[in-house]
Amino acid sequence: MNFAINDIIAAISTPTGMGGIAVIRLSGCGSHELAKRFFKPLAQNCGFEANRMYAGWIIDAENGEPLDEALYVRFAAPRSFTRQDVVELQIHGGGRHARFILDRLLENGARLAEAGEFTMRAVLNGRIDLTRAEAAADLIAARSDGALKAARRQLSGELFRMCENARRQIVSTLAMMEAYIDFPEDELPQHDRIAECAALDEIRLLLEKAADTYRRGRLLAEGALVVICGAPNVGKSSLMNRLARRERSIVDSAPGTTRDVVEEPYQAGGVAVRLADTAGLREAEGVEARGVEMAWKQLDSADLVVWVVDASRVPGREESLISERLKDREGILLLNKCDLPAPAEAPKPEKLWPQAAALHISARNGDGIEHFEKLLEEKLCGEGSPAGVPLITSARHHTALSGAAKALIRAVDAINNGQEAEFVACELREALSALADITGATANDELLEDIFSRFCIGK
Amino acid sequence: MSETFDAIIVGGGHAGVEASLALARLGFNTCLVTSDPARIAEMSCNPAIGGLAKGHLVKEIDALGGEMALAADATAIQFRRLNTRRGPAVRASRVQSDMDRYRDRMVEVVHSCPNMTVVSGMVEEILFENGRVSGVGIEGGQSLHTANVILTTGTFLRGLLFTGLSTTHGGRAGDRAAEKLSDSLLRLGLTLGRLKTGTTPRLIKDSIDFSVCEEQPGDRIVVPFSRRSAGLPLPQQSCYITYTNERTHAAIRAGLDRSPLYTGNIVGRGPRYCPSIEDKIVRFADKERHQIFLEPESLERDWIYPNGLPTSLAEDTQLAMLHSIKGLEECRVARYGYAVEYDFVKPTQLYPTLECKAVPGLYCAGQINGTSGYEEAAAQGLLAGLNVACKLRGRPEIILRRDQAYAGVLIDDLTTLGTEEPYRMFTSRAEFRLLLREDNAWYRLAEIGHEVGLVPESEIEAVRAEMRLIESEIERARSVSIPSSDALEKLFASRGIETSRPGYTRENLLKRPELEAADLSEIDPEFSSLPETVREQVELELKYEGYIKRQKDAAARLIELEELRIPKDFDYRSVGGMSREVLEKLETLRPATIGQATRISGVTPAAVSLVIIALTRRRNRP
Repeated sequence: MNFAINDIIAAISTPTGMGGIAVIRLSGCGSHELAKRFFKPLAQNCGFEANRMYAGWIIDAENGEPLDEALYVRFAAPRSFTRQDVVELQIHGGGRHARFILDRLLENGARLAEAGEFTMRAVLNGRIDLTRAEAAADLIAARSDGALKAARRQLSGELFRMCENARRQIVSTLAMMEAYIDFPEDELPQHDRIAECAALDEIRLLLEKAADTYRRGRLLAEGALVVICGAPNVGKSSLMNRLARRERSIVDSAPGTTRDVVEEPYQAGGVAVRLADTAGLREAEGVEARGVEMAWKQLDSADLVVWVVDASRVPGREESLISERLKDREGILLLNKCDLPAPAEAPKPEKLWPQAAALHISARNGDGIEHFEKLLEEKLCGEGSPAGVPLITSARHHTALSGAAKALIRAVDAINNGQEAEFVACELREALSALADITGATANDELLEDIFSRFCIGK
Repeated sequence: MSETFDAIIVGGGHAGVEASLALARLGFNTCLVTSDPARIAEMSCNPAIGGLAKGHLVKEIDALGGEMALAADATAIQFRRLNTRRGPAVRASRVQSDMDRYRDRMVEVVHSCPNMTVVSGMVEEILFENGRVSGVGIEGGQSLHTANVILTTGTFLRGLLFTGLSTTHGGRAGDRAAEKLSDSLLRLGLTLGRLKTGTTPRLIKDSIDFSVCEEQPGDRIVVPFSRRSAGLPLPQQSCYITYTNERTHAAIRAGLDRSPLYTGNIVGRGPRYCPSIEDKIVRFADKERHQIFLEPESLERDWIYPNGLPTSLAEDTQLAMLHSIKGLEECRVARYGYAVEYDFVKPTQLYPTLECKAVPGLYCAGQINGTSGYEEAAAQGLLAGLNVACKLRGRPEIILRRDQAYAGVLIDDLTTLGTEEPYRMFTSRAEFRLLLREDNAWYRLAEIGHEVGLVPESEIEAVRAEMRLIESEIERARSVSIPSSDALEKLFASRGIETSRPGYTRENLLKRPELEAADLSEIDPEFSSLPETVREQVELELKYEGYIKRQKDAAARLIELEELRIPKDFDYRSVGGMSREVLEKLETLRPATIGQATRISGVTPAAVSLVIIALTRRRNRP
């Protein structure tokens, strides 16, 4: 729980789903300094003047790789919606990159905004008049109730139990350390450093596993992008048509927003999918090269890649290019045109793409399509969570779990480095405070109760 | 007598002394009413001041201009520094005090203090007129007039003393209880609760065989609590350690049928951290032995305090229990242990200034608020006194934040969360523990003490100069380089450090866990010429810089919220959108700041946001 009013908050302020554009908004002192680390303007010597829109690229701050085109606007305090420094990033290409950037912002010092928090800051700083303040208050009251109910629904199950269990174990370890600190003259059991670390590591692993399910949970909540790629004329479009035909009675097909990528809506299990057909991948020059470049980029941002190969031909230069590009990823390899006779040197799936699940199909007569759809569903929805690990679908929960796991890593490091107990306690308290978004805050009294019920304290 | 006082303090314990001294020293016409003017600041329980979190409180009291640290130093007969092998924030000082000298010194200080009138009497009533306090009524019909009363009644409100099946009325052994004052408080609309605490039997020194006990001497190096003390003048004494055994436990179990704890005679809740020996035996039946510390109560009086044996068992059971313990086989008892049960004012009825929300002008401090411990009482007494002084001068109240002082944590916990058992301070209660150290108490609080007028100009100037020097030395340490030398090589070799670079800065060396300021002093003459306190601060601030910065950042976020004050007449019903449960909590507790509101259990972030918005609206209204 957080009530601070000057720190940096961030959120995607467009609705989640399949929109073509997403807006990330940040507010608070230092918003611009934080956000610009993830943005590379097209213009040289860009001064980031206030109230001006700059075109550029969203970049991965670690390697400077451009991810997507974006527009950047900075509003300088007090001339902004909240009267604080505000940055708005308009990201072209839907929610996926927005989510990626939001996660990076959250890892680097921003905090996920609570319901109505931007408006609250606007009210606090006198930016909004009284009537609109009433509306803001109503909004907070209504939204927070809704959010609470939604949270409760999710928390009734495994996630809450797991976090509560983790919380209790952290409290128990912390209680021991606090007992050593506050009662140095009492006869306490020997300090077992190794057992302590083992216990903390076990909790940390569980929290990490749960945090990792967020990838799949997010697909469920926000939909998945499945990119179909391959050399020209291997049957990608036939495949698209076959899949789309099956779906046409349920959903309308929509044209793609990007010139060279055609998208179709599709359903796999519970996951809403965008199927994207890309330009044929090959070495190209001029205008075509640009389209091919877009196709490669599309591959990078895909949740799942389906590579279509013509099984009736001997693999060529294009295939080795694609193979090189995909070698570290998982995906589905489709050997199309299995209704045609195979050549002597037929494509070998284990050589082309060892990490993939391979399947023979015929897009033309429908052979293997049903099998492929099943495989698609399996890849996207998985076989369910690992036993005892809940599926995370909310960014807030993901932040809480991974924050707690990181604090536990630091705690174990501190123990191993021989740090004094109060510093280890510091880390454990941070882990508890990270979990508080899911479990509720840990009261000091619970800690004391744990100490006094386990140890005979008091001289 | 019809004199009107600026403030009247009811009770001459550790809270009452600090409250009345602070007010009188600030020039206010102050009256201390106590049932026994010769027993001011009596140590009713163990003869020690300080310890974990408590030593911190004593230093904070010193920095704010209180008296406790000076008295503890002047009367210390054993000094120990606890947790020396742990980090700087949880190292704490403790002294065994000569309790007779402690009391006598406080009696002298109070009686000789200008502007102080000491009245002997038992207060029976709080006088209330025109919506606020107007004075106190004393047994026998006398009235004293004032607009500000500070209640520091300790365990005296309807106190009951228990030993075995016998129950007597009393505030503590040898003193009458305040029987009527509770009724007066109830009539004023306050809610009272009931708590219990206990004390040990006292033993005659020459009936104990110390030769079979472990000796626990004090530290060789002693450091006074107070910045104003030159040292500890009294000769240092040892404590001794012995243990209970199976026969002790059998003797206790045999007497449980006459224990008021188990017969249900005691209804008040006792402290979990200081259970009676019978409680320890019952709850931790597997534990083979319990430690007993034999502590001298004074240099002259031959009483020994067997710490670890608080009990309300019957006298013959106490004797059987004692005689089974090594070294105590022949001991004679000077006074039997007893439990005391007393009324307390539920502290959530107080503002963080310690003034009752429902009774303007009435303040409560110390055990009456549900705490235990001399240090906790003294800290509250001092702050209640200072807040009355601020009010009398029309200045803003003093509310210490949780990142500023243990005294702040103490008062915030009491007034925000309340307590169900006697509340004792622990370092684990302070979320900004790394910032709240004994060694920086003056740097944290002296400006506040100076502003209110208890820390004189000369002292604050010295503190400011030190702080400036520390700051500049921290910065300098980042650039001053320590060239390679034989001495450095030798030092590294002796600590198993591999030399990996041609040179080091002071900061590099101080940040190494293997090295400390003393090591640096040996190879860096310039550093060693700095005052010791400066060297210590430079070392700590650099060595633990990462952790300290994290806590400071967290504290900075808290400070914003503490600065958002909620007016006392704020109408929570006008806010709208809050659940009935949250509304009730806010209306009952009436938090002083948004920060305090966030800490009330069950008050949601959304509700706090709504209050913030409503406050802003109110501020913007023409």
